[in-house]
Amino acid sequence: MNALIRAEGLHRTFSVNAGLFRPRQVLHAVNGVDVAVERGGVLGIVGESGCGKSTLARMLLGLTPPSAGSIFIDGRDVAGMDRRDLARRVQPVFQDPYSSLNPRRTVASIVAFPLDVHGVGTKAQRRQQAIEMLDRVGLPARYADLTPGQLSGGQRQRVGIARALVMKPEIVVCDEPTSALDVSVQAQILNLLLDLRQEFNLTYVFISHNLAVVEHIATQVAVMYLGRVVEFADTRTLFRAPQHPYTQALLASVLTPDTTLGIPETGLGLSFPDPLHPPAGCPFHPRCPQRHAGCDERRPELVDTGASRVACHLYSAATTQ
Amino acid sequence: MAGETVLEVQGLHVDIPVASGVLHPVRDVSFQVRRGETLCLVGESGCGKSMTSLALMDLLPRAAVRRATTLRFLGEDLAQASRSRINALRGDRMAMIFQEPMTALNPAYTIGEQLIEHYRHHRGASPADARSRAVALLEKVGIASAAKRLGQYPHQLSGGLRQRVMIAMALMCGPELLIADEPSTALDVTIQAQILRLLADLQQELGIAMVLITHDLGVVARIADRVAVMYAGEVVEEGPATEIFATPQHPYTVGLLSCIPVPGHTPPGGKLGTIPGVVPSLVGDLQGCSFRDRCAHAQPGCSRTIPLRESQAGQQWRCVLSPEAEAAW
Repeated sequence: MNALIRAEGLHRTFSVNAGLFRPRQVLHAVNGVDVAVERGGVLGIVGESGCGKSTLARMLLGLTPPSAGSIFIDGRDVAGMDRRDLARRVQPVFQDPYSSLNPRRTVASIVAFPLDVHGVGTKAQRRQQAIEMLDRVGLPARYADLTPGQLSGGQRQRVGIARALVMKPEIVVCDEPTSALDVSVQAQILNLLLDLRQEFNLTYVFISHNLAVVEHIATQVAVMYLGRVVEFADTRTLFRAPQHPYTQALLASVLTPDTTLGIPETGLGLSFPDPLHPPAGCPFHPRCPQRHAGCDERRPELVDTGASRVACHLYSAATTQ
Repeated sequence: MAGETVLEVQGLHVDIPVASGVLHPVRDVSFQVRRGETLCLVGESGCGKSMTSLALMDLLPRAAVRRATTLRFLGEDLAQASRSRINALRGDRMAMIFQEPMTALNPAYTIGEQLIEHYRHHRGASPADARSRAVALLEKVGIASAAKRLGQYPHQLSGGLRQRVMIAMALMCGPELLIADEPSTALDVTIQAQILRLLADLQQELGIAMVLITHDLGVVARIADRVAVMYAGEVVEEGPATEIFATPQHPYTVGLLSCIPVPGHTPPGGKLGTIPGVVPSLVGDLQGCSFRDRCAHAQPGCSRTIPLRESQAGQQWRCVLSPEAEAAW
């Protein structure tokens, strides 16, 4: 694959307060992640709370430095890159349209801000570009001088998208961009993101806990659990033939609007993962319906199983060298 | 199996005076729930579903005015009941679970204290009796080491566990009606399935009538017996869940169902259905269909009184389009 953005061996640890009188503990939010996306692709990253997907997003955006590992954009290591060069190539769309826009600025000035920072053109030209981009995302000129407080959640998210695209980046990292929106608005934003991807030849990294949305928009999917990628495959492959027991449980939990199916049994039991104290061996084993001897001893590595890559002892024994 | 009617609501209105006039977040809402049955109130933000549940439990903001033609709980008129009667019913025979388990539990008290408090208040039980009931219910909701948990504080539990504690709390006095406001929305998707299953199992076992409020049509499809779709403060369509999903009649319901990506059905990367426009303001005098500005089939008749239509299978909706005209599109 000719990867446009590639992460190798990414780690990110945080030193956290474990309580009064206790020594600080190390939280391994991202624990050895390799992902890659080719130009024009959409990499979906799915996982539940505590899996590290948002921390991974922040590292890809250059907002948080990795504790270990590297990120390459078009073959260039971002560690050596100027902050502005990186910003010109990778831009974010955040989850909360209510806190990701400055409430005291007008919509046009919010969208023009990246142009200001990079010193593109004159003030008048920047405003013009901002207004054009707002129009592209479905907010006509009359919205230009409103403030975020005067807009709905969906409209604010469009402003966030316009701001991300005004510098014509190559990669957009979307961290749960529709989770805070109503279903009908979510559909509009997803349609918009797909249209813009075509029009501007964008590459997306799309982080979400909503598997139905990821299935719709992503070309490849990485499933994360407690800081690691446990399965990686093309979207169709992952959804038709999930291999990791966690992926299977995750997909089984998706509640499609089918009245004949009832409530799924995930088979996961009641224990929940504590990122501060990950289990020994495979981090998923306490909840795994298919755990067997050895799962609590050795951590499984990601192995190729043909169409997917899976980190699970059910498969690592099966591969032959 | 549905039994006697536990909750009967007819013509429920909530009005709130605001700076620019009077806001009508709940308008002429009617539904009923029977023993052992789950009714889902579904709609997007601002549709009035949460406000409806607060109206039922008499937990509206001070400035709000509630009026209803009928508001009966097991035959008893709630609208006429005294404050002390409502307090006696609430928490005891009518229980509510709120959306955010993180904030709905009091952080300063142990789980045990919160479970036991209202049970002792309503039933006058001894501390020992209350404690053993609390342990039994924690076990029933699937919490291991229940006795140990009694001494823990909410912050020591995960979101899924806190939600189970909330459910146990709601069940302490053996309610006959349970109102759950987005009980699984704040939870991870694998935990969501567990919590919904728990609610469904408990309901069947204990014969509780349940009103479940959500914006998630997937949840509705899997758990509801009956569905009431709300838009702009009104119930626009109501009926058995199987009917509503198989043959949605109201254009808003149709639009909503077409917005959702369904793995395996919606062509990946294709266009999702959308509903253009925004919800209208609910302040002031409101006439006709509130969906008409966003409806592809709007006609002049939509600004006048909208007829209530009914299907053979018990599905009801308000629309000027006749079923024949609807079937045509």
